[in-house]
Amino acid sequence: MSTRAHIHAISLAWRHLTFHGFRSCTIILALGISIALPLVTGSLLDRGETATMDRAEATPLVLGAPGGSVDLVLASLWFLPEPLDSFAISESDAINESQLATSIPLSLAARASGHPVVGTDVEYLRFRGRTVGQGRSFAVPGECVLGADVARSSGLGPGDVILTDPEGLLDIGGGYPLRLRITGVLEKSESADDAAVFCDLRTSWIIAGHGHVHIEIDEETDPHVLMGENEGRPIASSAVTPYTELTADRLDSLHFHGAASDLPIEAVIIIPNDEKSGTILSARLDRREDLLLVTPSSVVREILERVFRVGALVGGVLLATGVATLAVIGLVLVLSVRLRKDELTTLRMIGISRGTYVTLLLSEVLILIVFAAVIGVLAVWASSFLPADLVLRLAN
Amino acid sequence: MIRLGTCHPYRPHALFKVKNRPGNEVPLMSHADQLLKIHGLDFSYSGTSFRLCLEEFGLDTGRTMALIGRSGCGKSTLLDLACGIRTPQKGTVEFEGRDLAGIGDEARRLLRLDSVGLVFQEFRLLDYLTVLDSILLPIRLSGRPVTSEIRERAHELARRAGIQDLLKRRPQRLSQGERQRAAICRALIGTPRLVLADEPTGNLDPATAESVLDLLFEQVAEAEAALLVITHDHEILPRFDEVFDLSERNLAGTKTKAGAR
Repeated sequence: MSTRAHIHAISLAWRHLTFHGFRSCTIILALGISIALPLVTGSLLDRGETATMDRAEATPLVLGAPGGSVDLVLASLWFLPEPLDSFAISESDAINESQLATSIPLSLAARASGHPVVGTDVEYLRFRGRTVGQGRSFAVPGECVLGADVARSSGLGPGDVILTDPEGLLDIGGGYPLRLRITGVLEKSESADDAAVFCDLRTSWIIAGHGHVHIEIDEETDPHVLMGENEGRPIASSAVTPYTELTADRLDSLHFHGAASDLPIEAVIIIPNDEKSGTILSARLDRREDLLLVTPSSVVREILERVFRVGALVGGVLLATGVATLAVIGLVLVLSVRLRKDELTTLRMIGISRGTYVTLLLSEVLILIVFAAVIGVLAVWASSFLPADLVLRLAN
Repeated sequence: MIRLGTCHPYRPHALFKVKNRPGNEVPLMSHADQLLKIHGLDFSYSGTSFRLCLEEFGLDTGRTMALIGRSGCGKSTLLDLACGIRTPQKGTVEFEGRDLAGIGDEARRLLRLDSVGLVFQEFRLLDYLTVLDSILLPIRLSGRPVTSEIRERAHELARRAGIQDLLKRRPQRLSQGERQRAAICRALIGTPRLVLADEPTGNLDPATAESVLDLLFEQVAEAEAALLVITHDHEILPRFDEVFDLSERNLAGTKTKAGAR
């Protein structure tokens, strides 16, 4: 059999496919999707599992208020908006003072432009190995650093400001949004830190209304904001300002209500000095009924078992769909050959060899499969740009 | 040698007219000049009552023959047998002295590619090929390289067929006559020694049919090939050297048989 005849058969197959472009594209797309879906799902599940487990295993212990351990882990590791009760900062201080571990307090209640605002200290960034790519870290109340994805999606950077979200749109008597000055942007880390805003704990407390600064109102320039007087002291309306900003001159007036040790936090990341310290600390804290100590890796393993059980089910459904799609495409190809009976008869009468004839038909199928596979590979490549913990976010 | 009994009674004089030969007399041909010879043919399709039986049939090099007969009498089957697409259960079909049944599928396929040109009533052009690619199709299917000489021949054939300006068009942008002209060029590109045409003018209006036949006769004569044409149009019979009425010559009977092509 001549090689030229086979090459020409491939050329004929290509011409036939391009001539019937719409039909070919439809088959390629259907085939491509049935190839891409299981691949993308598998890839996302694998990456999600790895990224999720890595972060969980890098976080030895997490302390929170009594409640759901899953909520505590999701909120403290991935900053998901889980409803967490708070507890006093003094618990974190006590752990530090025990000399058994380093504690990193987290305040997780606030959000800014929809992104979680994590009140912590710079130790958190060191613990996670995060570096500030642009600008510098936060240093005083009112400053913040942005995760890489927040900076990219909002277009903000050092020198810009970001407003925290009000607690409730209809809560006109509530705390004012705080205008945070952005001092830096973190390097991209392919983790939940990319999608968060980090600030000082005191900033979080101010956002939550546990502390405030005083704003000077000038009676002559701002007469419209004065509602009246009470024992010689002016009463300002809520139209004083749409937000609060912690400028350098106002920081002097910053103060918190109540004892500093009672100010609330939602979680504490605990990094024991060694295994023994961890065991001692766990034993102590496990006895506390007013606190919840969890090992994130154990909790996450449990979550993943559920998520990936669903994933396996989805995989099974996709596989069944893929098989059905392939069957339909096979049928289309068989019908296509039948519809082309005259054409193939002509080729046979003219003198096409059996081998060349087989090459012609196989080439068509192969070309369709190759293009469909390219779609599948491109889809997997495109999915690599999705966050590694997307599955966890979606599952939540 | 052509038997007189194979001739159609409509034009006995045409039996003795041979184009391009001095004297217009049928010479006594030697067996070596006989391009196609069928002897003691017995063919039937399995599962049908159709049967084609021919005692003798022959076509000499350079001759033209019209094959007529009622629908279903086996004209198309005879064409298939003549070029080795089918082989008979009994008897022999010889092409240039070679028994087609004995040379194997591959040799028959190569014979069709190298020595036989086929023209169909429905043109049978591939809708995704341009006219030029359609003409070159047999060369490419044979695995031979499309040399500049072959390409030049394709252009020359197209020029003579009057479709030289349509070489880049696809069949759906051609008229019926243009399609059949392209199909004739395809049949002749390999310089065949035998051209088989199955009702080549059956789908054409009279004027177009006439010009297509002119082209077919011209090209076949120039190539010194033999031409065997199935037709139902008795008006064109005088143009052929010979006429063979298969209805009369089929020893199996002349009634229409289911399953015959």
